[in-house]
Amino acid sequence: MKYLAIVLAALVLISATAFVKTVSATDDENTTKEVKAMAFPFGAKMRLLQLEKSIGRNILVGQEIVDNIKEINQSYNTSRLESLIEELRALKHEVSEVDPQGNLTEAVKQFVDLKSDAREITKEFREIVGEDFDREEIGSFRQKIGHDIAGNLTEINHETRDAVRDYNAQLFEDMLHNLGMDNQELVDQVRNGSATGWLIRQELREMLQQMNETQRAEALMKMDRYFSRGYVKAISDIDKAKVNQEFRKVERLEQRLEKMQNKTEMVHQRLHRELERLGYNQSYRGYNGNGHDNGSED
Amino acid sequence: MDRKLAGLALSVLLVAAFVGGYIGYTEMQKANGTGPGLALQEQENSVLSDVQSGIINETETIEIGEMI
Repeated sequence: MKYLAIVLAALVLISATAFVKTVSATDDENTTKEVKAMAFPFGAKMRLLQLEKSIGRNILVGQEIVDNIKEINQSYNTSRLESLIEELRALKHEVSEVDPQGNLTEAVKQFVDLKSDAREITKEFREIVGEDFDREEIGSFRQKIGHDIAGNLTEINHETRDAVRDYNAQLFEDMLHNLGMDNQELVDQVRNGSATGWLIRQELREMLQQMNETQRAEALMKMDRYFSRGYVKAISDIDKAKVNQEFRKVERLEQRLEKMQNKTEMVHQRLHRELERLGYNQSYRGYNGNGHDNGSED
Repeated sequence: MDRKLAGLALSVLLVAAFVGGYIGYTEMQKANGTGPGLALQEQENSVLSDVQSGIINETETIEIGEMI
């Protein structure tokens, strides 16, 4: 019986490890796919904007959850959840500060780091809500969110969609330019979202068919180089991003903490100035309405 | 005259053998999926697939997980 329990425990452990490995491999695959587009400055701009929008979406949803919790349970302390939302806000700002036109390898490194932070903060928020509320309550949060902020979420989705369309158009235009070709009509169709990947493929095939064999071979070689450059760069940049990741995280968290402390200090000072203007003293107790201290002994 | 005719017939035979051999060789390459024409066709398919997959689906987002 004892051996059976040990074997079962080992099996559970192996399955859990395999599951974690699969999830992490999928994350890596997604990130590689995302980073592939960052081989071009317009791709880096699009991916950073997409990340910013994803974080913005979670801030919106998180705030809505906190508001709902306050409505249904006023005694619940939401400060942990609110601090995570505040951290997401700081993170969103950091993403907006990454320069997509500068060093692309550096942009990839920052994208990988900030995405990883966003995932961790989101996971922590989800776990707290999952521990403190039952399925029914979480289901009702979901319903309310869907109803209350549907418009805002649609707006974020449209902004992300437009960024992707713009990237696709720029990629296609850049590739044609690289081949010494031009098809503005199709570029415009890609930009307004009416041309699918399949249509682009067909149009390119037709363009290639009009060439002689030597021209076609040369064009294909250039196109191959254009795309494989992105893939090779993605692999190399991801590898570079993995080096010193832990160290960079410590640095990043320290900087974020410092910024938040400065922000809190600024809020503190502003509130002090406001209270002084209204005639309160520092401890709030000595208000006389005329700016004089009421807390004297007489 | 006979020798001339025989020479001509031999030349025609040689040309026919060469053409036949060439056609047979390219057909064999086609059957094996090799050869310059096919290599170009394969390269075209592969590059066009890369182009198609390089075009990003407009509903694609960066997955950072859900808040609940």
